[in-house]
Formats: sequence, structure tokens, C-alpha cells
Amino acid sequence: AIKVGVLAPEGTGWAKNIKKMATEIKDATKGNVELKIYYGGSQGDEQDVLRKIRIGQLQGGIFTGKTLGEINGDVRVMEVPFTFNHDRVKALKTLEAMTPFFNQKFEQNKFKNLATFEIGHVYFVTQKKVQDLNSIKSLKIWTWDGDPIVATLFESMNLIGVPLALPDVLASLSTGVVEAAYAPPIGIIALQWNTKVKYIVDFPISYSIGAFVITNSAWANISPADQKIVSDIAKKYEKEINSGNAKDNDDAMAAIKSQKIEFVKFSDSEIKVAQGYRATMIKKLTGKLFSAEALKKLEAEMAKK
Amino acid sequence: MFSLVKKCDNIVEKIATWLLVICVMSMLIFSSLSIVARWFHHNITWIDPFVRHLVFIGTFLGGVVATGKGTHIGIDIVGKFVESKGWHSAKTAISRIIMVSSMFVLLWLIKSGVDFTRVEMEFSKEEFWGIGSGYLVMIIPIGLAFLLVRFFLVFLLSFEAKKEGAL
Amino acid sequence: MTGTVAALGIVFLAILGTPLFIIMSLAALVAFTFSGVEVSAVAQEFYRISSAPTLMTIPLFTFAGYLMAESKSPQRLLKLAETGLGWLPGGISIVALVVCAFFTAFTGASGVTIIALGGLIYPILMRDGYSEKYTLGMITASGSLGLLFPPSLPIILYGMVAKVDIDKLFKAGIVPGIVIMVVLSFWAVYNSPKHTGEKTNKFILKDFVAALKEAWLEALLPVAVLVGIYGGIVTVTEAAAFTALYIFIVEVFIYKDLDLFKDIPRVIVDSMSLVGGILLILCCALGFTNFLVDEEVPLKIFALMKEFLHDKYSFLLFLNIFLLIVGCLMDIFSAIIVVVPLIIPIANDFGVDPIHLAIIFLANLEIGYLTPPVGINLFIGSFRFNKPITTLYRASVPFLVLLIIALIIITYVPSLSLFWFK
Ligand code: NA
Ligand code: NA
Repeated sequence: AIKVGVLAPEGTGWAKNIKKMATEIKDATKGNVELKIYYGGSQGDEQDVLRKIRIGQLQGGIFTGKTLGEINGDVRVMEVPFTFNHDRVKALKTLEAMTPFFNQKFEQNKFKNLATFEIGHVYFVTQKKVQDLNSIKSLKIWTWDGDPIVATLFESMNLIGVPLALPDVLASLSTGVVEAAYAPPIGIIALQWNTKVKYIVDFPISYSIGAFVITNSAWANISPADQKIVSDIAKKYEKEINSGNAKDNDDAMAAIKSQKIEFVKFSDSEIKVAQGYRATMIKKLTGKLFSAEALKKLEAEMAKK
Repeated sequence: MFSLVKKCDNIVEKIATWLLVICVMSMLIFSSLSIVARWFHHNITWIDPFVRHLVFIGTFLGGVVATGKGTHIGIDIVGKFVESKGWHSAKTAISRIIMVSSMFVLLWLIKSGVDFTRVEMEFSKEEFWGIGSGYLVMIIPIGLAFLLVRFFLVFLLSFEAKKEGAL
Repeated sequence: MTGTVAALGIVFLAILGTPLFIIMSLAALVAFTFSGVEVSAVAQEFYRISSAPTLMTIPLFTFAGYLMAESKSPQRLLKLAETGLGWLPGGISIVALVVCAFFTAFTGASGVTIIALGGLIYPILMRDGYSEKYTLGMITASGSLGLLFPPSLPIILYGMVAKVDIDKLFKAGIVPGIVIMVVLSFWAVYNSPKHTGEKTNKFILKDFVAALKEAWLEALLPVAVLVGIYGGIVTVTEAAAFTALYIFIVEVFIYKDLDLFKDIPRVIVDSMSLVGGILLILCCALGFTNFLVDEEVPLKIFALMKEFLHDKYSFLLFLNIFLLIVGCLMDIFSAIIVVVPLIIPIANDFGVDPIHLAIIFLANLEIGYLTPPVGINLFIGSFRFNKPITTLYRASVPFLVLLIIALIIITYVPSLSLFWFK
């Protein structure tokens, strides 16, 4: 069996779709390809799962951008802050167009990418009201340690980051140790931050993505006929999971709205400010995290109508 | 012969002691520093991973001291029974069986640690101060090797006349 | 066949008294080898401990506890407790229970309470005339208290994994937590020493104030920690650093009970040899837990048991027993991550309220740490007080019985947890 580590807990929309995909693959390949899926971080966080893949205990994982970037830094060009702003449709289109390019690099780095997902726009939630991008500087913001994009964002915008373990964040938001945090809407709901914060900044920071990858050697063990079946089913579920996610995110946003959380709107001039920060970050990250080639491809895709 | 072994054992104990003192005082100072820094809206990002690795190092050093003191936690039912009967030679034999099997397991664990380190070195990524994770996971085989050395010294000392097994 | 021989060999080594961390890692190494997984998985699990959320609290709280135990703090606090509560039978023991519960609520992990506070409470209770058996049992059981009170990290993690409202869980845990405390308090009163001679059982304000003047810096600590956390000055995790620094300054520079150069290195080494011993076990337990996860053992047990469970009550009974065993084998954070997703759908089918389930789960797990033969609290207690494990077994039996009674009440009277939400 191909052992796959997933962070999404059982019972979530994600997990249900993945389960269905695994069953369908098993049936369609007459039991030749069996995915054994470990949900809810039972094999550890994404970093642990990647380590387990490298030592050979697991053969695949469903990762978010941060971990994918350790396999193939180019994918992270999609996640540079303030690239797509509110435009989710364009972001998804660009992601789909970029995927073949990303897949080559995955291949070189010994991974087969079976499906690429959009996780959604990432938003700031805050305890204090902020007027514009620059006033976010005054808040103590929870950060997830070890992500070069986050580090660059904080450096470029001069933000105060407080690194905490995930379970610590909720209590810290209510006591004021941190005054802001960031996540996609489904994450905000899953971590229950919506019960502790007063504002959500309706100005997406970044577009977050994920992918289902398995090792090349696990892939090579599958017969060509079965490979095609697996690829097709994974592609089908990629669409299903993406639309499921989009719906979950919309529902989460609606739930946030229905609570007493105020949506903070920035004026249009902030988009310009954001573009300035984006340019700074791109300068810092190109050649370090992702290649100039990946950036060029992205800009070309974005220029298309 | 035993005086040499004893000397080695004392050196190991001293090294572990001083490293532990440095470890714990650094944990205390740097954790406090990061709280204070935040009051002034500063964020020292390396403190958290640094302190975590200090605790990790301290785990093995503490284990080395516990080995010397013979205070590792175990289900000591047979040993206590034998002791209560006053069967000293049986007690010593049991201690030695324990130490030999512990050394064997530690060797196996060290192999596991070396394998893991080798893979991690290949994909090393910076954790803090420019130190790659490949170097940080070396704490595991090195720490285990330190434990093994201590077990071995205690084992040798168990042959000294009139000395009871330390475990 | 070879598997059975290996298992028997490991059990044999275990009862000989081989260190538990050696036994657990041997079990993990052997198990992974049999199932064809690279043994470096064990080392990788070791490394995971360096990212555990409460890791830093363990050495720092332990160091703080040792500093207090090695100073004259037990005398000062005993005096304060005697003058304040000497009139109340079992009063001192009840205060000790409350302090332990408070502490566990912050640390979450069993064992930290025992190693950090045990050394302090042991001399206080012994000098007040409690029997050693009671004292050891109480301290060992103390690791199980307080887990249901906010801001308990296991509750937060449970809420996140199970997608249950964490604030509701905190509310729901209060009464069951108090039930456990009340049951143990009765036992404290029953076991309280009969004071005779010049020792007075009356409350004398003047004496109490004098004792308070002596011990106020130490007595203030819990208040300072609460203010620190709820005032947004420190996180729950950082409270450990704050506590250790506070006690360090108080004992070394204000009371001057301990000398910076003569005593502190010794206290550090003593406390860290304990911490090292315990964290090594935790590392190795993670290795073995990972084998269970990898082979989907909890899943298989649950799938098997599903066939035999027909109603809510047989499910709850099975759950109680299953979690007592899990509590013996896994650390609480792994147990939540691995087991909670398995039980939620079944509990749903049987109509167990998700909030009630959370409370049952956590109460059970904590009691599991006290269950012979391999409950980790028993080992830690044996380590901390240098007593044979069998002594700890005997000492903890009455507490185990009481806690199970409390657990039965909590399990079969759901309204204790749920009356807030009706
Ligand atoms: Na505890
Ligand atoms: Na525990």
C-alpha cells in the first residue's frame, strides 16, 4: 500500500473527499493500488510527514505550500503576498496553467504530483481595528515559524511576529499575548479563532495552495495502465476538492460574518501600497525560494486575459 | 584498572553536570528574555527553537546523570524481590543483564539515529543561527552515544570488588 | 512465532527492571523491523519531541519545584497552611490538591505536577502527620487533577481535533473537575492525622499573619502566574519560564536559602536527571506510539469492538476500559490526535453528546496514567521519591478506586457536564 500522511482530520470535507478518492482508486485498479491514509496529523505535522517520506516510512502526503516549497520552491511563487488580491478565479486559472511547469520540477526532485489544490485566500483576523496595511505594524501577530514567505513578509512590512505552537494561539488571542493571526477562512473556523477575534481584514494577504504528492519510486511501482487510472481519478477529485474547498471557504466566511466579527475594508489606494511590498518581497525571494523562471512564467500567465 | 574507569566516569559526570548547568541557565535566561522583548514590541525569532533544542540536549544529559545514579524508571519487580531475599550475586547478575541489554538497545538506537541524520543532512534546512536541521538532529546519535558510554562505564564498575550493581 | 518470542523477551527484560525507555525503544525497534519499516522512524519520532507544544514547561517547572523543595519553602508554606487551615480536618491536604489541580491545568502533561510539586508537598504532608502511603498516593494521583479546568492545553487540543467549541468544553469541565476534587477531599479528611498535644486546632489570626509575612513571596506565586496569563503578559507555556525565574530570584537572592554556586548546580543536575529520565521515556513512547499508528492498531481494536457494542452504555464502558489502557501507553497529546477521530463517529451513532464525550475522554486518560502496571505517573512517583514501584502500586490503589468512582459519576451523569447548555 502507498502510505499517505494528511493533516486534515477525519470528518472534514477534505478528508471525506480523499477517502472517496482512495476507495475509487482501489476499485478501479482492482486492488492493485491501495492508498493507506493517515488523517489528522496522526503521523505528525507536515514536516514530520515529509521526513517520514524521506526515510521511507511513508510514500506520500497532502501538503500545503510551505512544505511543498521544501520539495519544489517554485510552487511558492503562487503564494507571494498581494499577488492575486481578491481575484480567486484568476488565481485558480493561473494555478492550473502553472501546474505542468511545477510538475517537471517535482519530477526532478523525486516526487509525482497527482493533484494540485487551492486552499484559499489567507486573511488577517485582529483584536484591534486597523485602518490600512501600515497600521498592522502596531499589532503583535502570531507567526508560524520556519516559513520563508512569512518571514519575508514580516521583514518587509516591519511586523511584530510572535511564534507560538498552534494550540497556544487561541488562548493567546483571548489574553492579548497576540493581537492578530492569519489563516484561510476554513482554518479560522477550524481553529476557533472566530470566537476570540473582533475584526477580519477583508484584504487577502496571500493565495494558499496545496498538493497531493507521492514519491517517484512509489509511482514507478504502479503499472502504466494503473498509473493512467490513478492519474485520471486524482484529476477528477482535484476538481471536486477544489470546488468543495471553495464552498467551505464561502460558508466559513458567511459564518464569520454572522457572528459579531466586523469586516474591515481598506481603501483602493491600499492595493498600490501592497504592490510596493510585493515588489520588495519578490526581489528578496527570487533566486532564493523560487527561480526567476517561475516568476517569469507567473507574470506571463497573469498578463493573459 | 578500576581507578582509571572511575576517573573516566567522573569526567563524564563532570562534563554532563556543567553542560546541564549551562543548558538550564540558558533556558531560563533566554525564555525570560523573549517575554521581556515582547513588552517592547520586539521579536527574537531564534529563541524558541534555540530553547527547544536546549531541552532536547538536556534530555540526553539528564539521562546520562540518571544512568550514573542508577535512577532510570523501570518495573523493578524481580530486582526488588531478589534484593529483599538478600541474594546479592543474583542481584548483580540481573544488573549486568540489564546493562548489557541496554547497551545493545542503545547501539541499535544509535544506528537509527545515524540513519536519520544521514537522510536529514541531505535535505537539511536552516532552523536558527544558520544551523541546518541536519546538524541539529545529530543531537540524537551523539546524545545516545554519550548514554552508551555511561552505561558501559557503570557496567565496568560493577565488576569492582564489593561494589553492588548500580542499577 | 518469532514475534511472540520477541515480545516475551521484552516483557522479561521489563520485569527484571530494565529502564523503561530502553524497553519502549526496543519494542519500537523490533516492531518496526517486523513490519518492514526503516528503524530510523524511531529516531525521527525522538526528534518530534523538540516541537512538542509544552516541551519547555517540563524542565523549567521541574527546576522551579526542586528549588522550592531544596529551600526552606516547605517549612514556610507548611506553617502558613497549618496556621490558616489547621482547624479544618484534612485542610492541608485539600490545599495541596487544589494547588496540584491548578498546576496541572497549566501543564496539562501528567507527571510534571508530580516532579515539580511532589518534592514540595511530600515533606509538608509527612510533617503534618499524614501516612507515607497516603502521601505518596495523593501526590501520584495529583497528576490526574485539574486537567478539566481552563486553560488546560489538552482541552484546547481536543476541541481543535474534535471540532467542538473550546469555550464550551472549558465550561463543561468545571463541575466534573470539582467532582473529582470533592471525592479526593473526602479521602483527605478521612486520612487526616489526629493532632494531639500542644498543636492547636484553632485558627489564630496573629499566627496566620506572621506565617503569611514569612511565606508571602511564595504564596503569591499562583496569583502572579494567573495575573501573568490572564493579563496577557505571558502565554501558558511562558508561565513556566516566569515561574522558574521568580522562584530562582526569591530563593537565591531574597530568602537566600540557596547559594548560587554551592547549591544551584546540584539542584539543576538533580532536577535534570529526573527530566532527562522522563523525556527519554516520552521520546521512546512516541516511537512506540508511532508503530501503533502506523499499523493502525487503535483503528483495528475499535473496528473489532464495534461488533460487540450494542448500546450507549456498553460503548461507554468499553471506552472507559480502552482509554485507561491508552492512558498507560501514550502521552496525552498523541492520544488525543490518534484516538479522538476514531471514537467520535461511534459516539455519535450511540448518541453520546460530543461535549460530554470530551470530558469522559480526558478524565479517563488521566486516570490511565495511574493504572498499574505501567501507568506513567507511578513510575514518575517511584523515581521522584526513590521508592520501589510496588510501593507506589499499593499507595495508589485507594486513589485509583476513588477516581474510578468519580469517573463513573462523570460518565453516567451527563448533566454534570451539560447542564450549562440545556
Ligand atoms: Na500534571
Ligand atoms: Na502525559
